[in-house]
Amino acid sequence: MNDATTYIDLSNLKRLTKSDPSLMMELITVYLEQTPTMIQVIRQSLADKNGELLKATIHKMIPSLNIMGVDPGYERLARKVQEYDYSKGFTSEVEDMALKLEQIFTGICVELQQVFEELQKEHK
Amino acid sequence: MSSTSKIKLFLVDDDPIFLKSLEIEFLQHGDFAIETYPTGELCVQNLENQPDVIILDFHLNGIEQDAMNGLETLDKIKAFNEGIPVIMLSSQDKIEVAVECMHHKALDYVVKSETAFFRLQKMINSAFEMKKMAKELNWYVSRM
Repeated sequence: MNDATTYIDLSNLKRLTKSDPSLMMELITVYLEQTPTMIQVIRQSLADKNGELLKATIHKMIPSLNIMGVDPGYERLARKVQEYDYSKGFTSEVEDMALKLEQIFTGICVELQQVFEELQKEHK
Repeated sequence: MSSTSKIKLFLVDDDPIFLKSLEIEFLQHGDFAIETYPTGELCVQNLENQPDVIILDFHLNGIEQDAMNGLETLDKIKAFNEGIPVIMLSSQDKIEVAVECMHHKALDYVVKSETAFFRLQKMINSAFEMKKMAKELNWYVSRM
């Protein structure tokens, strides 16, 4: 399997599943089913400038970052958006961070889709 | 504990990825019979299945705002059977959250992190050790 990815490091997923391809594919499938919907919610919260919804969505997405071996720097960015003081309003600073996160989550999905396809090919 | 040797564990979280990862870890590291629920409502509806321990997410209503939250679920579990140990989970490491969980009679509070599973496992073991010791102590006391 090709481990050259930008956003994810598969070592945690391999440790968790003991490199069992069917378990790895199962977890990736769950991630790929859930995340696009969450990305849509991020987009909606940005369009509506709804800080509470953005916070709740990011909060829900943080634990899976670690499971998928996402660089801790991206997790820190997510925590920053989650802990942002929205009473100051929906500033351009938080908007930029949320847009960056949207891009990161999309990138993670693209990479995991590739990993899934490779696993599928290898274990047909 | 249930009549079988397996510990019946309820895992309750609306994050399906975290839920699945916990299920994998528990099945790989111990003799557990696991039931997973994505909502507090479903957990409460299935309490008749007599779980030995429940691991419950604090934020069950982050996205679905009408859903029962973790503390409401905890209260309903305790109203059903105060003796069921409930360990709360949250992705936020905040003292207020921990204190609130304790006030609602949770056994403990664990932050969702890389070490969460090992801490949960340790807590479950301690809870059952305590239960066993209490049972033994009662047995000796009844014979004095």
